[in-house]
Amino acid sequence: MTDRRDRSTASQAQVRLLGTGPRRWRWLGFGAALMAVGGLIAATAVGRLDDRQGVLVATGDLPAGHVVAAEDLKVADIGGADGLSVIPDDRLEETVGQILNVPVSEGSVLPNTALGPKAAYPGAGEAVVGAALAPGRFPASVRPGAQVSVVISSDSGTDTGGAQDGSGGQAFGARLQSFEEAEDGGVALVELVVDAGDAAQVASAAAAERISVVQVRARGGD
Amino acid sequence: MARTVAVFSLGGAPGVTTFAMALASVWPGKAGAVLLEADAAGGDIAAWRRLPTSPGLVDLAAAARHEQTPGAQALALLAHAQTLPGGLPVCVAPATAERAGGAVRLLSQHPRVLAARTGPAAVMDLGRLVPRSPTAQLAVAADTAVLLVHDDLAQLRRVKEAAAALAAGFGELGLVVRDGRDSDTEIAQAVELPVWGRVPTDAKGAAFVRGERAGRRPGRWPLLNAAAALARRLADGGATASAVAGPPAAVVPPAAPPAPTATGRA
Repeated sequence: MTDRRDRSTASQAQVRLLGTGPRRWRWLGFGAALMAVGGLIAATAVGRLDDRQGVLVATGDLPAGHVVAAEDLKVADIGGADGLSVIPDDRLEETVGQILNVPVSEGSVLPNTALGPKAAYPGAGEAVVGAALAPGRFPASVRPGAQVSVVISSDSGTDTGGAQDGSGGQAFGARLQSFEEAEDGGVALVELVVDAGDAAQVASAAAAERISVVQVRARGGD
Repeated sequence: MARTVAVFSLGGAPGVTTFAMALASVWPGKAGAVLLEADAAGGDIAAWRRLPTSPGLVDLAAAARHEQTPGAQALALLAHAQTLPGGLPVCVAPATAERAGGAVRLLSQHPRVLAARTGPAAVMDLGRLVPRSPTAQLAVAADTAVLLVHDDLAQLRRVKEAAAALAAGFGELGLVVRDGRDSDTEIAQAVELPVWGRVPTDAKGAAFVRGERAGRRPGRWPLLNAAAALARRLADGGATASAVAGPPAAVVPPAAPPAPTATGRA
């Protein structure tokens, strides 16, 4: 009995020693893995801190109806733009060639809603008419995007359509799309967005240099 | 009951340091044993276990000259030991014979630091024993001496011719035979010393002792198992009583301690 117990303790003698060979390598590997994981976590955290997004910004004043070219745009990095109506820089290529619905001034961020495809411009029922305005036939302060009234002087005797006013001229509601003052003589070249039905009349009056542009209050501002 | 055990060889390289370290590491009892590497040819343990050589044998030898009170002498060995992973205290020798030999000589002149009656037992690794050397003087300070020998003709013949002188010098002396196919009884008769145990060649166990490999249950490996069996016998004081000392008709009866079983079990 005692013998058997002795033998069982013999096989499990307490050994006051530890071999430290391969185990050290295991711990070394474990430590290296731990360092790698820590580095990854740190890198991810730093990357998230610097979570800035590139957005498209106009390099100059862009009128409504302008076909966006690559040189009109630059990329600015801003943070926290998730909830804003912006165009991210990865959409730069598809943005080029599209048309602005609204004017954008230099240095402004292009809003997401400002763009439309070429086919969608001008809108349904609208027409774009070009005109050259002599000095004095437009307010000097008028700017692209302004809501204007196109007044046609009635000296030629045309009196069909349009709102007849007291002085015998006709007035058509329009939006000033672009405005360019020529250097010589103060003549202004403008593009006007008018109702498609009025386009022919406005165009012929413009050809005869009989139109004036009057700035009115925007319809939305009533 | 053995308190101080000397492990040595007479020639060859039977693995004295490895066996002494295994013996100390499996010494029974709560206090265990402290290993003193007192090999005059220089120590290996510091290199195996990547330890500094101080505190160690040199510091112990220096302290042995000054410690006069029995209390301080009892604590000196443990005070100059380093603890290995696992808990074995080891007093390591410097690597060169130049420094280790000097320390052994100094220690052999003041062996009282090895005779502590309390605390852990002491296992001395003496390396190769040369007659009339400081190592031999130091060996006499041990209660019990274990002679490790390869089972080959030349080694056994050397042991046989030295047996009488050795048996006269030590209180208790026994053989531990490394490898071999001869029976314990045959060897005991041939060399006229009792065989206390056999230790096989155990590459895994030896690598474990040197700190080169880990093991989940090293106590089951042959080297440590053999060491544990001897450690239990020595600690119980029944080494000579239960060891194979040859048949009753052994040529020379082994040096019998006075009533070993009675004192050991008391």
